[in-house]
Amino acid sequence: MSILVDKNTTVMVQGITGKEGARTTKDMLDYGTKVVCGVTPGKGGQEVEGVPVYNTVKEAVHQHHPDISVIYVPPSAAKNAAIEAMENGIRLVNVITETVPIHDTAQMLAYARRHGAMIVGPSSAGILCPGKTRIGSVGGEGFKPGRIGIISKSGAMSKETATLFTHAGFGQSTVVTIGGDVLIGSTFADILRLFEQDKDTDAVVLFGEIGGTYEEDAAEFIKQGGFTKPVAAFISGKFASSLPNVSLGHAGAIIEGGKGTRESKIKALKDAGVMIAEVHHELVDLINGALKK
Amino acid sequence: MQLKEYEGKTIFRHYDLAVPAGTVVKDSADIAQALRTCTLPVMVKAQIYAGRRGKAGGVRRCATASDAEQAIGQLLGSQLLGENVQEVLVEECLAIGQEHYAAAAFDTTSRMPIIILSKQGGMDIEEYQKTHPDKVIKLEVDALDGLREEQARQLAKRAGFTDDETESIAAVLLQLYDAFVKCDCKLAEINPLIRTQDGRLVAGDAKVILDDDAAFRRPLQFSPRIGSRTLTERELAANKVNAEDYRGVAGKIYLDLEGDIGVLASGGGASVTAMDALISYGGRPANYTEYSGNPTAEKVKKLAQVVLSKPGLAGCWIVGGTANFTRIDITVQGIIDALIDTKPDYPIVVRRAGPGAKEAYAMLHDAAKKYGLDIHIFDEYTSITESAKIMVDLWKAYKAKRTIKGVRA
Repeated sequence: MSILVDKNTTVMVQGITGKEGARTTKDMLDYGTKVVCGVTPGKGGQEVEGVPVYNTVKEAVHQHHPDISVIYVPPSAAKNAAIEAMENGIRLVNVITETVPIHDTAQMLAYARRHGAMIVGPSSAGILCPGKTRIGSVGGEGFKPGRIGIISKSGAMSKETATLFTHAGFGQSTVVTIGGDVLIGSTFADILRLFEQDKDTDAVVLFGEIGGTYEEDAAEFIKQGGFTKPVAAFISGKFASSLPNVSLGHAGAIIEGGKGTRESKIKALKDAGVMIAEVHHELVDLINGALKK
Repeated sequence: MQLKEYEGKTIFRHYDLAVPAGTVVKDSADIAQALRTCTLPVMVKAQIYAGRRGKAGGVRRCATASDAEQAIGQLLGSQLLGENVQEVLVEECLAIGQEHYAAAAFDTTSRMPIIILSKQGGMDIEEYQKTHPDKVIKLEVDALDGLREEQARQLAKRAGFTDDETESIAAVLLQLYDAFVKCDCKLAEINPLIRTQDGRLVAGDAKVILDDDAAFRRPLQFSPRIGSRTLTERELAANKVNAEDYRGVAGKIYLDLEGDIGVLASGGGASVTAMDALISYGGRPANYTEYSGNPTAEKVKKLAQVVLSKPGLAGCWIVGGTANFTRIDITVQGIIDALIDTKPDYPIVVRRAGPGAKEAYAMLHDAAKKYGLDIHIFDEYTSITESAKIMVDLWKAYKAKRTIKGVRA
């Protein structure tokens, strides 16, 4: 078992003929992922690594009925690509594109909310079930099958976190990179809900960053009993707190109500019983200790 | 990117929100000329990013031209709340009836745009929200539909505005939301929203934060900045390195910091974690920058040159997570090229792993031997955070040695 995707999941790549899209398609196929079709407007009829390319999502979906779409289009096209996927019945969209304007993300999320679809990202690095399938860019050495779930705002740090656990003898059930943008489709709490149901996940590791309230929201979710397995978290941002200060203004303070800082996140998570690693590599000992009990 | 008040008001004016008549003074030679265009009395307002500048003496009401001249002269070039005052806004004095509050922003819990409205506005809105949570009214907006007129009216009513006031408040909210969307703002705040004694609604102040990711389509452009300061030479140079070559990212973000450990980090999240660790162990970074997405050796070399150009460095840390596809040998080649040009005698700690890493280690080893560089090489079995400690220890030892020698102590 795994969450969101498994070895039978069929994948469509939007932006498949671009540099990133094409390389990732190869990486996914090499991993055994069932990439069944791709979309790039104006490039219909071509093939990328043997995967047929279509001009529109509609044609691709009609021919191949993919379960998930992974989006590798430029930032200015990401919103329309995601909406086109959902319009054509795709229920899970993984947006890898970075630097998507926040108003575009807000529209994507509004569309997903109306149509009961799920978005992971933007700025996600993908979703990986070691030994089964990889969606997007996250993958390579350092991961191995196992029973630890990882949810990370950062792509590179999901790999770094997984590597720490792999070296210590703990494999991973599913690794989900949710992205570090202000607005994201799937939050820590959304993914924790899925891990709670997953019989093959014993514990979850969170890699959080300062800003926003998703860590605090996760703490609240755990506190209310939404997630009952051991959780360890690392919140990066000690350094970022020392950067030239850009205040969020009064509205920021009103919306977040003092949340968003590293201290606030750590306090909320601790209050919810989450184990906190002060330095990143301590995560392994925390999980190891909790699972031995 | 945060804007100054006068820039925010440029946006407001563009979307038909009323702002006070005013002029910006940047040079004391222009004071007299500027005052000729204003009607006395005037408000003289220091243009800084920090809040509560009024209490710090940054906002003054001046009844006469000589008062105003003196106030502007004092403020221009002065330090206020840690910022250098480069511009002063001189505005007409409004006959204030009431002060309200209105803002458009994003709410991360609902993950929707949100409008915030309060009949009571002014400096103490945060405190007011704590004591009167029922008076500060929020409305979530469907980003696809936008703010509808009926919703704006409802919101005004809920905030306690009378039927007479509702129409004009709703109009302001619609204009504010329009500006918020069309200029791709993360925040557009009017505090106070002034109701003048003759019944007009005017934006007394403007706090606007723009979404940098949407700069490519913004109808109004503003000069780039980091926090409350303009970019340094090295920051501009690094950004140029990135902009000139579309292959991969290198130098898109570069921050000059106060310390003396040069940093070449790879990967967004990994680089921030690395910086955290460096600071945790007492290290003082000279800069923050990041390269990723498989840039060319030439591009990385140029970024490395920018990093190494900082005077007084006492260490250099080349660090990143285990790369998925960024070629370690290619990117490290660029760094080696820059190091050979500089031939620093301070310790260099490399923690890199990923495709081509073995070749990269061999290249680093050779360069160290050939050019007498003090390079310490680590792979993925030494964590990013452990390599931070190693960097800090070597940096401390180097500085101690340098002090004993009496060189640049």
